[in-house]
Amino acid sequence: MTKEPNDRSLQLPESLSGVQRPLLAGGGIAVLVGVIAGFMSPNGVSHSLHAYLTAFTFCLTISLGALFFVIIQHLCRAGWSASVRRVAEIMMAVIPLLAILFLPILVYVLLFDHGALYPWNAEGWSSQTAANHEKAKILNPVAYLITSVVLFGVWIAITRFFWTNSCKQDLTGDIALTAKLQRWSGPATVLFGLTVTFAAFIWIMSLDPLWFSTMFGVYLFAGSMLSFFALMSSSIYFLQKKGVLVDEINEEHFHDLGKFTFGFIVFWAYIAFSQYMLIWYANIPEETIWLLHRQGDGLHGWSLVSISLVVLHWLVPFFAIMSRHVRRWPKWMACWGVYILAMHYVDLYWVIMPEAGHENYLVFGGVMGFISSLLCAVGMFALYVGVMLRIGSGIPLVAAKDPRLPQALAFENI
Amino acid sequence: MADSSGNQSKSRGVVAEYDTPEALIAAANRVREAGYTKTDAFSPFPVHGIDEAIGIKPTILPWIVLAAGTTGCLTGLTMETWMNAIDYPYIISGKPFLSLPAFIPVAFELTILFSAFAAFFGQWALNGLPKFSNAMFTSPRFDAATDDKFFLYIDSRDARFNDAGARALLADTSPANLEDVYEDESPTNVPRFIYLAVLVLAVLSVFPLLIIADMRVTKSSKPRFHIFWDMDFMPSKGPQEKTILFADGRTMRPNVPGTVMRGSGDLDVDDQTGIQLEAMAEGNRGDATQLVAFAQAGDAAAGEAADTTPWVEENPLTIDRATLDKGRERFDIYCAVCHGRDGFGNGLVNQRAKKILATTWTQPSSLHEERLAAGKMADGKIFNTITNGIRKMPGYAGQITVEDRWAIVAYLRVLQASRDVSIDEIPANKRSKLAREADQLKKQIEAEEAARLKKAAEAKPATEEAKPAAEEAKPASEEAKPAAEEAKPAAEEAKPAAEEAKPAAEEAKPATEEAKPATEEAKPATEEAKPATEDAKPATEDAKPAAEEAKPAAEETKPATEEAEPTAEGEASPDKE
Repeated sequence: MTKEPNDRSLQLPESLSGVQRPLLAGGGIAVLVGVIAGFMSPNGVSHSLHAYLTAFTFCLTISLGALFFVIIQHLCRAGWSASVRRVAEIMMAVIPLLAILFLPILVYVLLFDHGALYPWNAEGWSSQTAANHEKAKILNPVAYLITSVVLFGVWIAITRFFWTNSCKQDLTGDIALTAKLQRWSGPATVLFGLTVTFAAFIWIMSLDPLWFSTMFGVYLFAGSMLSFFALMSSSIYFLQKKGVLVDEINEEHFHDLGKFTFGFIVFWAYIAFSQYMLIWYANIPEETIWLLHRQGDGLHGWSLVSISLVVLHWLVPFFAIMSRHVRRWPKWMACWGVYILAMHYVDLYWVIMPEAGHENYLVFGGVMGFISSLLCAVGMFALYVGVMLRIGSGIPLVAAKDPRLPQALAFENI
Repeated sequence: MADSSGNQSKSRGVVAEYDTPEALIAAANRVREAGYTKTDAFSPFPVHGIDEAIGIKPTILPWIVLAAGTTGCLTGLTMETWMNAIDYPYIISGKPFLSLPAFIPVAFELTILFSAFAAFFGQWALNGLPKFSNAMFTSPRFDAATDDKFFLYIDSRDARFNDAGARALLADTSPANLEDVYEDESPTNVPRFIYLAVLVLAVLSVFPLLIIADMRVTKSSKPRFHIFWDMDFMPSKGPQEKTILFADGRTMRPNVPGTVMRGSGDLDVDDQTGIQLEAMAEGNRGDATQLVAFAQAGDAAAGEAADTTPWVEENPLTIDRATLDKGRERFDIYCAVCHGRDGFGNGLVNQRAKKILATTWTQPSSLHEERLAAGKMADGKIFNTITNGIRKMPGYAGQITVEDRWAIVAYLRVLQASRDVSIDEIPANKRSKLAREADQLKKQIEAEEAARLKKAAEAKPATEEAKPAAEEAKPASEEAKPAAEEAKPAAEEAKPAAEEAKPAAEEAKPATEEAKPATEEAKPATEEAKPATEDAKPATEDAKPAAEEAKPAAEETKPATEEAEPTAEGEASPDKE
């Protein structure tokens, strides 16, 4: 049953290998145009920065979800996922590109930012209040640089480790490699939890330096897992339409990916609501201010987005993917995957963009702002997918000699 | 039918045994295709594809769980909405009565609870559990079903079943073994001792409830039975206790500055404080933002000039019969102990304080003083005094609701008016009655005076100086009687005063109706006079003011009866002869 790694049905089809260059070039141009378009929006450079950060976070969360998925599969010695794990590994292996994409933000923060992106970067911010003075110990350009380097360092290290060993196994089929990955998956899980939390805090939560929520890291993590599983379903279905992975991945695997998707829809809603409710109930000004920017009074733009998150990010997909028949139907899961990815972008937009300018209170930031956000997001995602295809070409899209692959191929849901 | 061992039990079907799951599935497919529906398969582990092979339909359990979960969610939301928004609206944490975020956790938990119950018990019900016996267990070979063998069973109750056909079909699937299944001989009904045990448990479980129920209704001198110890003995503080939590050491917290008590109806904040806050804010912002939560400094003489507070001038309540009754009731409960029922400031507390010569005692104000009169002192200020207290008087904000305080103010105005009306203000149809009563009173007083003088003349005065004192004390009870009668006209005069306050409200009422309450109002006064119902103290209490009352009352009757004046003067100073 198992095929050789160089089997044509396990390799990326030619048609997809060919679109890498257009994707990368087009994506790069789109991001540039998007950033420049942002200058002409009411919030100016601030809008560009936030739009860029939103698009960057969108891609990063997917990759972090993939990274965690891979670690957890090894940690649990999961058999069913041996056939889908390689696709997740490719998504996770894009993290070095994300480090490069993060450089513009880092350089800007270190050299040019005077509060347009991070208010704590403004002159004299730390001396304004006692709280600022304390927070400035963490929220300052030097700490930002160190944290960013450490975070990407840890992620790239974990990624490389799991990626290279997994690829090595394609040639040798050595069981010792599986054991080795298993052994290191525990520490990797702990590191992952810490790094994701810190990343959420210093990159995104500090956009409003006064605001804090200890749950915020988990909130982003929930969104990242959800978007990862959504992309998994969609991309695997897409690959199967192109004629690869047809024998290795079947409705049973879709069913399990769907269960995860469903679970994380609920998990995301659970975390989002828990965070909301505690802030709402305690009613402490420095906590509620963040939600007030997104809720305010009446139904202006942002509060509509808030409500749409409840309905479209949770309620609709919750009932849509509730039935096992939907989860066992790859086409439907692919469609819902695209939908969830779009909603995940809205979620991140809702988290980041209001910080671009409270006084203007614009959801889109005018026509130019809308174009800017759209081009940044689409361009970044094109870059992201392009690099994924580059990584994925020339290697089997299934861990062909994984000792657990037979188990995965024979996998059936009860 | 009989098996080899000569067992005469009834056959229940045929069972075939296989060594591999594949063989089991192949056989199950054959049996299904042959049209059998009452079949079952047994295996030590889940065999994929067996559901399709023996034709098991997808379960309806998910739908049951979905329905139960939805029910749970709605139950939670309905319950909370009913409890906190409809049945017993209660502000928690300053949140709205009906606030979804606070309701969601409970609704969420109930969704899960109902779903879990539905899944668990629904599974039991759909599987026909619990079963106390199964025909399969009659075969000793069947024990291998939990180990390494696979069994396929065709029930004899299947519509298509005939013994030979089923056996032949199963034999054709090359089983490792084939045998009949016999009815389980062991009794199928639940053993009697289980019923007994359940009954005993049920009976025993009622006892604690009965004990609790009994303790709720019986009186006993013994300490109560405490089911929830920590609920009966909470570490909370009682009223008037000290605490180290707050700097001032009081457990009873005063109102937060700038707030008013709940349950104040729809009165606006001005009427809840007795102060026109807008006007106050213009003059003195500091005082307006922080309501005065302590006694107004200074007494009448000093304070009058200094008092620039823009008090609320008009009583916000509708002045009608019900309001005045309410005010009178509250006044008699809370105010009369010090101020006296007549408002002259000689209530029981005052008498007692004087008796024990309390050095720090301040005599309660007479409510009939000039400075308290309508037009002199704003209603709002009186309201504020009731609310926050003054000098020795504590604030009553905690005991009397806002509406009731205003009702007391309204009643107080009536009480004041009852001592301060001219004959012109009394309705014409009442004047003759008043005059008649004054006449009777005059005669009575004269008779008593004559009797007293006669008695005094007979008595041997040991010390001339002691006599006035003795006289002053003695006729107290006698004077009480006229006082009671005094009260009648006084009470009647109260009505017109009320009429003055709200002419429109009362004008329509017939005179007879007005007369009835008037006599009713007089009742308490007459009761006070009866030594049987009350001891002499109230009588003496009222006797003194009665003497004072006689003066204005007599003056009022002057136009009607000129003779009343000397009598009244004589009454007011009994020593005069």
